[in-house]
Formats: sequence, structure tokens, C-alpha cells
Amino acid sequence: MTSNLLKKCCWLLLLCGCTISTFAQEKFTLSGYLKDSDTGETLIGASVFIQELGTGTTSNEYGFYSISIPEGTYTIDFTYIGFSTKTETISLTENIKLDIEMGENTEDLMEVVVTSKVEDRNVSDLQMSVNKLDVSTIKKIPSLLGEVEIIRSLQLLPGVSTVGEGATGFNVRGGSIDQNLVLLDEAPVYNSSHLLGFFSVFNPDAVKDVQLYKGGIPSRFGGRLSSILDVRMKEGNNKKLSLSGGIGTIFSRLSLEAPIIKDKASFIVAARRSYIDVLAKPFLTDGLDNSILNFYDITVKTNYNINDKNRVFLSGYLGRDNFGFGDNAGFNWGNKTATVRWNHLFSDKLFSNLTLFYSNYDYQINFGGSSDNSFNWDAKIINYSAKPEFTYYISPTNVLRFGGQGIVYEFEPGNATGVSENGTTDLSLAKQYAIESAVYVENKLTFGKFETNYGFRLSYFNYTGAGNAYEYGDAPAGTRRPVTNITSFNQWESIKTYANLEPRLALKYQINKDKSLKASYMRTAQYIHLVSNTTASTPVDVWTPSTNNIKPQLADQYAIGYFQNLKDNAYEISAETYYKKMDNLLDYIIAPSPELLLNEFLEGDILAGDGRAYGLELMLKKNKGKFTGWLSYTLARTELKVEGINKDEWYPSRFDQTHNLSLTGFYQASKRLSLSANFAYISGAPVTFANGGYYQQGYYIPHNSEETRNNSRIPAYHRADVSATLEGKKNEEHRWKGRWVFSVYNLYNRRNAFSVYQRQDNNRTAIGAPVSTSAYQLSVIGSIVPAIAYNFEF
Amino acid sequence: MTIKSIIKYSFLFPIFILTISGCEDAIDIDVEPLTEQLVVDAWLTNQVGPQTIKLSMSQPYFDNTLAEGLSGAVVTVTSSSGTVFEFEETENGNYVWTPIANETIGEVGTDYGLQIRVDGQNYGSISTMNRVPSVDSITYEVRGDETFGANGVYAEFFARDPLGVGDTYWVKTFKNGVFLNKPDEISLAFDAGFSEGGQVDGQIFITPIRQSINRIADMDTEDSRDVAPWDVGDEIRVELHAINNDAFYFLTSTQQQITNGNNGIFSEPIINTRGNIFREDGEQVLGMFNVSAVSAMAVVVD
Repeated sequence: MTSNLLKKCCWLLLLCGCTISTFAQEKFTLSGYLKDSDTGETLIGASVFIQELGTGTTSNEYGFYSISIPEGTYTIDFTYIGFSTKTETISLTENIKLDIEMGENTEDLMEVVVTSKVEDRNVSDLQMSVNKLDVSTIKKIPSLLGEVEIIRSLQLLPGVSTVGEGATGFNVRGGSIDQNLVLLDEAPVYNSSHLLGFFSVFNPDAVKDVQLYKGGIPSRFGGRLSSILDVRMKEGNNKKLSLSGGIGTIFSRLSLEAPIIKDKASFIVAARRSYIDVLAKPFLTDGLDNSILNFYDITVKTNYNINDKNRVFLSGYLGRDNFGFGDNAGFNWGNKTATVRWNHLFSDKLFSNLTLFYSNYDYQINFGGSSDNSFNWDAKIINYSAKPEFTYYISPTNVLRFGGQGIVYEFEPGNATGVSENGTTDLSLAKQYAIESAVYVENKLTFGKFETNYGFRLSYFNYTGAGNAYEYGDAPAGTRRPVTNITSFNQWESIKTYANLEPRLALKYQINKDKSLKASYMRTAQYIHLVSNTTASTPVDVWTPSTNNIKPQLADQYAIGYFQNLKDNAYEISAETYYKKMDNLLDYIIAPSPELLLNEFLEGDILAGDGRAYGLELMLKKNKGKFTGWLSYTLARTELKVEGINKDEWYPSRFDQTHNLSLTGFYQASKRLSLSANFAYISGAPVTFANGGYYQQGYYIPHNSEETRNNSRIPAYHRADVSATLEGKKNEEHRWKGRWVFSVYNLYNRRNAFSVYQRQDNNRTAIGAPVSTSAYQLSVIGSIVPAIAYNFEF
Repeated sequence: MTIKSIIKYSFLFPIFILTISGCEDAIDIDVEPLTEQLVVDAWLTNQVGPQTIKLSMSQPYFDNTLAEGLSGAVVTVTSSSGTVFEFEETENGNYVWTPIANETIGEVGTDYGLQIRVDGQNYGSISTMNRVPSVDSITYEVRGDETFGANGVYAEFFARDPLGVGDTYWVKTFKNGVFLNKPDEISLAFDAGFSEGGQVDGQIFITPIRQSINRIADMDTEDSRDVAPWDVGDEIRVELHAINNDAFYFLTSTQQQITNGNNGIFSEPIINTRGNIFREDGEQVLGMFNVSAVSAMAVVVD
């Protein structure tokens, strides 16, 4: 199997090599970096367009561009949304290095009609199934408590949803939250939420670019089934010191960026801290008055431009949520990531980046502070990775990318000890280890009206010791499998390996200037899994590697789309449809009830299921004028089939939302005042209800005589929010720029159901009396939430 | 309090804070039509006194009534030593075996078979009476700095799980003779810990199990969190029931399924609790047959 895969890879590599030689001609290369003239930040995805040739390229994730064209004199447009287009005339008689600094469009956007190439990206870009929001747009969206929120903003776009307000993470095209690879400067973030799910871990002041791939994911990304959220941090202003921040209802932010060596090195430090505990204090009495309830995060990044050919970046993130109850109970969790990156130009045409990262997610729970009575529990996932990447800019119509990645995982599924006067009880589970590696190649080619990016990723996973490998016997479908054998393995000794060849393909046919058709296919493999059986994921859910019992999750996704721009790119229309087939999805036994925490024999409680998801995503966007905004609509279905559950029939997954509609609008009322509003409508999520009950020893046990899963739906969700942003008066003499944001969340005060459940009276039932049962609806946000925030830049 | 409930408690707190404006509303829901099934409630012990098995049919979830008994059945229990216990119908689906003098149902290590004949169908199950360690002591103390509950008297019991993996227990507590019957108060042990694979075989029960005999307060009655679990003069009676592994999982599931609705956004999908009673064609019916050996101790708080 493996050698067969390798043969295929070699063949593909050869094919790429042939393509290179075909295109190798006498040409010169124009290359360099595109930057913001104000801050020195590199610009990601800015367009370089050669008027004479009618072709061009875009800058990469590090702002680098390279284009090889025949000798000649060219007029070149450099464009980027929100920036004034810069046009240069170049006489290309040798290889030229040209760094371009572009200025932000200082004129009022609403009065300017910019006709730049970059504006038709919806149609012209090869990549489909991408949700991209500019940070400046995200900042205008009305939000809960007035806090700019990246992940919740993405949920206003097609194909992205959540199981409910306050739920951790997000769901992409019917995938679970662990099927999203969330990257912060290339390091994975294992829990992307603060305060359960109300806020994401990304500090908007430090974020430069956000891109969500829902399908057609290029082969340079891998490791998760459903999506890649690629978040890039700012490098830090290398021109001058700047300070920005905000004071909000629930937390405050401050970020500082400055050059270390002007134009050469800079840094950014951004921090946030919530003060909910301060606000909640009046509500806390009876020993809870010492309670801690806060979160904070710190994002730092620095970079050094060694010379024309070398640049290094160091970035780090540290975030923590803390809950403490009185003096003797506490619960906290958080992510830590560190990334080192080195950009190196082997030549004007060959760009490389080497990333080394460390990522750690852990949680800790402590009960009982005294030396003779305590319970301490923690769990972690740690990984170390090296990721070399190369981009070879062969010609404007041919770009080759290749590289690899190696990740070492260390899982600590649970360290738990209880101390009492009778000694210590250790409930800890053994650590687990694994190594994931991958190589990839992708080749982007343009020929006539067609453009393609094809490639593959070969991934290999090795579950290793030190540790025990468990073998399980058979059990009736849906029930716990018994352990039959345990074998011990040494450190790094291989227990089980998996290899997968993941082909990726993106294809575009440019019908004309304003219209295009796109199609994509991807196979993705996921080797690590979040073990979670609750409606909303909890911070204590544990990650587990694929083992000899848990197979990697696999998905094949096909998507086609039609893209059109109208009225000189003032309107964008897109329609995409996708079909996704998934294998080896995790589900859990139904008898007895599964034990997912601190269970040495967890694998015996895990079931493998099949999934399928399909849908239609429509988007209409207005980009120009005083009034801008978009309408997003998703019609979707996500179903699971697991032996032993729902009589072995397909059933809707908990992420199944038939209709998901959102309308987001911005209105620039005057130079200082902008208004925004959004409305969301989402079909009710599936839920399982018991239709019967019976008594045992006085307890009333709910029972579903039809053995169905997700047999009902909760009421539909809908909500409207509005906000107004008032810019401070412009004063050329002062650098201080203030901005007030007034927002109202849940404008018409709807109590949206997060969940609906059947429950018995919480109070004690008298012995021999009937148990009282009712159905309840839980609303997480049960009222209108007004807020004021003040933001500033200096 | 099990690990699960500890965790849930931890979550409910932040959720509570976040949702000062959030809320729970009673609503009406439609559920699928019910297919009624036979329910057998057969939890026997080696304690002195009559033993009862109750037969009924499952009822619509929102019935809010006690189950109506099923009469006309023939119910017997046979032990592996050959004794046949006849359960006579009394009233409302109760079938009772009444011992003569101090006779009990049997001894540790005995296997028991349950046979039921009703409406022309035969049903059956088996159970083993497992060993039970003695309750060694019950202690209590006055606590002055409780985080979640009232200050006052809290109790703890001590017992040691015998060597050998796989003993399962139900710890039942009685306050002044009244069983603490809240679903949250169901206290179960697998060896000396919460669950299988806990590496605590042959030890004294771990602290949270020892302290699980304190009653869990109501939210909105006079039996609230302002009242400590025990008061001077109260009798604390702790019974340790050795239950079969099947029964352990049955009660684990029972507790999970009953209290699932309290977990708000962290609720798990409802699953059916599986018992051990089968019709002769192999079809499972509802309920549990379990024969327990019981040890007990009682103290009065002074």
C-alpha cells in the first residue's frame, strides 16, 4: 500500500518536473515585497498586474511576489483593496528587485470609484470555497457587547455555523469543531474560544489577515477534514511607534507596535483582559465572593529583515481562561503557541519558508485546597513541528509549490490525583505519542481561459509508544467492547501506522471578464480527534490520536460554483454546491453510557461512523456605494450513519441546519458616522426526545421506544443586531484617533433556544410519589444586550 | 458527586454568570408516539424482610403519574442451590416473596434466575449475589467554609473494596430512615473508584465516594443550600449494596439520562438505558433484575 503510494508520488513529481522544463525559456524575473507605506506591514494577496500582457500574480502570505516574463518595457499596476493603486513603468532587461510601498486610500471610499483588478477576485481567483473577511469589515459588524469578533463574523458567511450562542468553535459544511485546523501564524490552536464560545482567542488588533478554506483546500494544508482557518498576525509597524486599544463592556485591549530598527525590524505586543469577575461581584455571595472569572491573552510578534534574501519572524500567543470558586476550587484552560519562521530566497524565483512551531493546549481542575483533601486533574496536548515550504515561480502561468511537514504529538489524556487523609489516589492515564508527517506538491497552471491548481499530499501517521496498545473483542453493535489483550511498547516504537494519499484539485474556467465557473475536489485525512459527546464542546474534552483501534477520519469533497460580478464589480454573486463523504467519524456507544474522561479503555467506547454532507451556498455582496453588505444563504444537510445507533439508519447530525440565512449591511451615513445591522435566521438544530418513561426503584427513566437519534428539532433561531460607529473628529495635528461603538445585540429581545430538553423536577420527590416531568428551552442570551465600547489608535 | 457532576458543576458556574440574562422556559413539545413495553423492577437483597418485584408497562414521558401495575403474571426466582422463591401478586403489579421468620434470599456467590410468565409470553434474567465489604465507620464533622453549600455537619463513610477487579457497588444513604432518592444522589463505585480502569482495586473508597452520602440540596424548597446535610440528632444510615456489573452500568446510565437535562448546553444525546431482562425470543424489555448482598451501618449525629 505504502510503496504503491510512493510510486504514485514519484510519478507526480516527475510530471511536475516535465512541466517546469516545458516552460523554461529566456526570461527575466521581477520580484519583491508589497508593503503598506504607513506601517511597513507586508500585504497578503495584493495584485501585480502587467497591462501589456494582461496577466499577473498576487503576493503570497509573506507579501512576496515574483513574476518571470520576457524582456521588455511594462506598465505594472499594484493593487490592494482599500489602498491606492500604484502604477510603475519598468524596463525589464535583467532580473529586477522591486519592493513597493502602497498608501491607504485616504480619500473617502464612498466617493471614489476604484477600478482595480483585485476587485474582481470573486470571479478571477482560482480558489473557491473560501471565506475571507477583511479585518476592517469585521470591525464594522455589530457584535455581542461591542467586541470585534473574528470567528463569529465568519459565521455570517455561507457554510459556517455554530451549534449555538456561547458554544466553542465553529462548524464548516457540517463538520465537527475538531475538523477545523485553526492556525495562528501557522501554529495550530486547539481551542479557539474564550469564555466557552463567546469570544475567539484572536485579538483583532493583532490580526492582519483571515482566510477560511471550506473546500478545495490546496495540498500545502492538511491534517483536518473540513476546513483550514489561516489567521496571520501583523508584523508590527516598522515605521513608527503606534498604540491602539479599546475599552469595552467586558474586556479591554491594548496593543503596541514599533520599529526596533526602522524598516528592518519591528514588534507588536497585544494584550486583552476581561473583567467579568469585577462586574459579577455583586451577584456573588455565600463564599463565592472570592470567585475568579476572567480570561486574558497576549500576542507578541517580532521580525527582522536580515537582508534581501532572508527574513525571520518570531511569534507567540498565550491565553488563559480562569474560573475560581471561593478558595478551594478552580478551573482554567488555555493555549500557548510559539512560531519561528525563516523566509529565504534561493533565487528571485524560488521562495522558501521554514516554520518551526510549538503548540500546547491544557486544562487544570482543582478541588479542595487543603493538604489532606484535594483533587487535581489536568490534561494536555503538545506538539512540535517543522514545516519547510518552497514556492517556485516558473512563469506567470506556472507556479510550483512543494514542501513537507513533520509533527510530534504528545498527549496527556488525563492526570488526576485525589489526596485524602488515607493517602493519594492516582487516576492518571498514560501519555500517548504520535508522529505525523506529510509531503506535498501543488502546481498552479493557467492555459487560456482555464486555470488549475492540482497536487497531492501524502500523509503518514505513526502511533508510537511508550504506552500500551489495547486489543478489543467483539460486542453487539453500539455497546462497549471488552479488552482482550494489552501489549506494552517502548518509546517511539511503532504501534500502528496509517498512510493516505490526498489528491487535491481546483479548476477555473473564466467565461468572460465578469463570470467564471469553478470546481474542486479534495481528499483530506485527519489523524487526531477531539472526543466530545455533548451538544457544545467543553474545554475538558480530550484529544486522542488515531490508534490501532481508532482509524483516521477521511473525507472526499466535491464542489462546483458559479461566480459573477455585476456593475463594474459593485455586486458579487456566487453560488456553490458541495458534496462531502466522510468515513470513520467518531461516535460513542449507547450501552452502557460512554465514559469519555479518565477512561483507560476509552477506545472500547468509541464507534466509527459514516457521514455525508451536501448543500448549496449562495452569496450576494454589494461592495460599493454608501450602502454595502451581503446576503448569505446556505441550504444544507449533514447526516451520519453509525452501526448500533438509530437502527443503523442515516440520521441528521447535531450540526444539521437546513436553512441558514444572514443579512449584513453597512451604511456610511456621514464621514464620521457609520451604521451597521445584521440579521440571522437558522433552522432549529436536531435533538433527541424520549417519548416514554418507566420506574425503577422510584427513579423515572426516560426512554425512546423507537430507538431513534435526533428525532425532533428545536425552534428556529433568529436575531437582529445593530451598531453605530462614531469616529472622533479628525485633527491633523493630533495622532490620537478615537472611535465610539454603540451596539445592540438581540435587538428584538428574542429568547432563542440553545437547546430544548426534557427534565424532571430538580427538587426531591417524596418516596412513592410520581415524578414530575416537563420540557424546557434554554436560552443563553435571554434579553437585549446593549453595549458601548471606545477604541483608539495613536 | 461523580467526576462528571464535578465537571458539570464547574461549567454551570460560568454559564450561570454568563446567563444572568439567560433563562430557562417551560415549553410544550411533540414527541414520537410511544410503543409500550413491559417494565420489570426487580432489585432484590439478602436483607431481612419481604422482597418485591414490580411489573408494569412503560408510559408516555409526560404522564406525571405512577405506573399502573400489570397483574396476572406468574413470577418466580430460582437459586443455583435449587431453592424456588414464589412471588405472590399483592396489589398494583407488586409481586412479593414473604420470608418465614429470619429467612433471607440466600448467600453470596449464589446465582439466581428470574422467570416471569405474563400474557402468554415468558421472560427471564439472571443475577449473581456478589460479595460485599462491611461499612467500617461513618464519621461526621462540622464544616465552616463550604463553597457550594451551607456550613454545618457533613458525613463520610469508610469501607475497603476487597482485592480483585470488578466489584461494583451502590451506596444508599438514609436520613432518619428516609432514603435519599434524588437522581443526583445515586452513588456508584467500581472497585474503590468511579469507573472501570480506575486502578483503585482493593483500596478504601476514594474521597468523593466516601463523601457521597451527604444529601444534595434542592434549588427552591426549604431543603435548600442554606441547610447543611445533617443536623444534631439525625440518624445516618449507609447501606453498601454489591450489585452486578450490569446493574452498575444500568444505574450509571439512569443517573446520566435523568440529569442530562440539567447540563444545559453540555447535554449529551439521550440514549436508552439497557437492562438485563429478555423475552424468550431474545427481545429485550425494560428494567433490571439484580440480587444484592448488603452491608450497613447507622450512627446518630450528636
